[in-house]
Amino acid sequence: MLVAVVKRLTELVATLLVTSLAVFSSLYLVPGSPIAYLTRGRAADAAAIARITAQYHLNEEFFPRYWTFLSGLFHGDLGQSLVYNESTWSLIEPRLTVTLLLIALATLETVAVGVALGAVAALTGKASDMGIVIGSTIGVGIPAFAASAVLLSVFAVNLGWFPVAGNGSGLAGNLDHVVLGSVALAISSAAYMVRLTRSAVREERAKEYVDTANARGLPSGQTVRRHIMRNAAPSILTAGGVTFIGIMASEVVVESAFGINGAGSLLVSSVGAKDFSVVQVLVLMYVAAFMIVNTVIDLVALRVDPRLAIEMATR
Amino acid sequence: MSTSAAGTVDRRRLPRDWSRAVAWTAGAVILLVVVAAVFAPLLAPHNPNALNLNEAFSAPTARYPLGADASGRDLLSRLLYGARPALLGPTLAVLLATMLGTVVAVASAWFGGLADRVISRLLDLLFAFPPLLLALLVAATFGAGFTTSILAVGIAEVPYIARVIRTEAIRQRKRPYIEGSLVQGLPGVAIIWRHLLPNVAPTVFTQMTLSFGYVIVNLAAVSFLGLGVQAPTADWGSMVSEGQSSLVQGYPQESLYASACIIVVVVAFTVFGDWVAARMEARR
Repeated sequence: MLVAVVKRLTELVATLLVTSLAVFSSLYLVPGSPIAYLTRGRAADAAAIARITAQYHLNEEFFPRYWTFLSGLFHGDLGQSLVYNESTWSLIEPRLTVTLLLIALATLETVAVGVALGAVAALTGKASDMGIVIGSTIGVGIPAFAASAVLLSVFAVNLGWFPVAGNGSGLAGNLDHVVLGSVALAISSAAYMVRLTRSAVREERAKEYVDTANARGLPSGQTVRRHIMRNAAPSILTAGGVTFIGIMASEVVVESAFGINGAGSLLVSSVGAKDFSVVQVLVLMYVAAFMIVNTVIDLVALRVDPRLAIEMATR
Repeated sequence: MSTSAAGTVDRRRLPRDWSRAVAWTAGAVILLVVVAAVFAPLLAPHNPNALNLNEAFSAPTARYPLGADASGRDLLSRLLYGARPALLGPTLAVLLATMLGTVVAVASAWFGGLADRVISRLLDLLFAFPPLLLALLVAATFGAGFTTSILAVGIAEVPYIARVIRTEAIRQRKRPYIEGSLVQGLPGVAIIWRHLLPNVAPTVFTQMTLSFGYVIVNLAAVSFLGLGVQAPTADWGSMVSEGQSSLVQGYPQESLYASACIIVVVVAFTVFGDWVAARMEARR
């Protein structure tokens, strides 16, 4: 067990390091001098060039530069935005709440709806199964931004139940501005979750121990809860991890669709404005968040099904 | 096919025929979109980029069958022309991903050992990049546009394709016909080209149809963010985002029609892909 945990955490650190190296070096893949690239579209005087050279440590070798970047991250120095004359962190920090709220809400909806409907489809009659399968097949094909357009038009513009754009103030205001977006975000991921949960539960339900439990006269509710669902849990958890990538990535799109001023729309506008230092930090944050969540999910799966430890340790 | 005795009702036949009918419908939808894309110049009543500010937000009329957008451009024509990048982009991205994915997967399966471990690790790493984030990073680095978005989304799809092909290639690698060819002294490249690849091809094809649906969504999302197909080219993803300012003013048609097109095509590819996958699975 301990071996598996240590191995998984080492893996996380290693992948994070390689990812940071990849994201950092993407700047140097650009043909031409980094200075020309970083100042593209903007007039730069000698002082600005000197500042950029110092900021990116452009007069140093690649690896010392990378090291400065990395140790900066650990010291909370995320660099300086080239467009806004501000530190990157001061741009990101006020926008984080609304982004985290949106992701959390969408994840909650996805897991609740996805697992419930998936289990219902796998465990109950044919008609409900078919209905849920059809619904989820269509749902998987509804991208978050398309759902956003429909939801915005119906619930925000026509019915006026929700605000059309912006962040709102305070937690309640944020929530009000984020609810519709979270639904748009959750539709396709919940549908995906339904499909994965359904197949995981169906697979368990067909196993012999279920017949044994039924033969022993165990109430079916207990068989489902204590045996089927518990055995299906690791697969469902892993499915949740995969779904989470989708939510994290589409969240960027939903923020733009709903005019929510969060980390996602900052990322999109920074890409448009070629504000590379902000792009780097944000991409790294998104990827790191996703990797950490995936690791946590693996560890929880390990707790639910200790048999996985053997597989993980020998991988 | 059917093993049921004469006179009894074969319960399994019904859903199978049903799922086939659904798959054929999906196939027909895909064909329809292909026709729309290829013959857009003949089918479209107007130039998709022709402005007519007097007709901005026009309701459906004989002249504009689906109405007009904020600049008075014919929506039907733009939707028809929009089918072109909607199919061309994913086709190129999936082809790119399949070529890279197959080479990597077959190399991984053939050599095994250290090569396999290194390749698998690299693929895991690529898995950690959601396609959209990779597209954003690439757009920031190399500039936005149709080509860069295809490259980014195609590369992001590689691990999904490579993983499936690798498993199948390893399965084939262990089979006696490979062993036999090796004993005969055939060079590895020849065995891979003439024997391994043809046997892996069905898996490759199945994965391609499944990937297509995902890639459409990813590319449309990149366009929606303004980093893919550039204005004024008609594209469904960009139309959803361009239509959003009209939508807020109470003219939702552009966004909604474009969204509907994307959803219908993606569902059609998902259903068709699932059916192909199920058939391939059954054939084994």
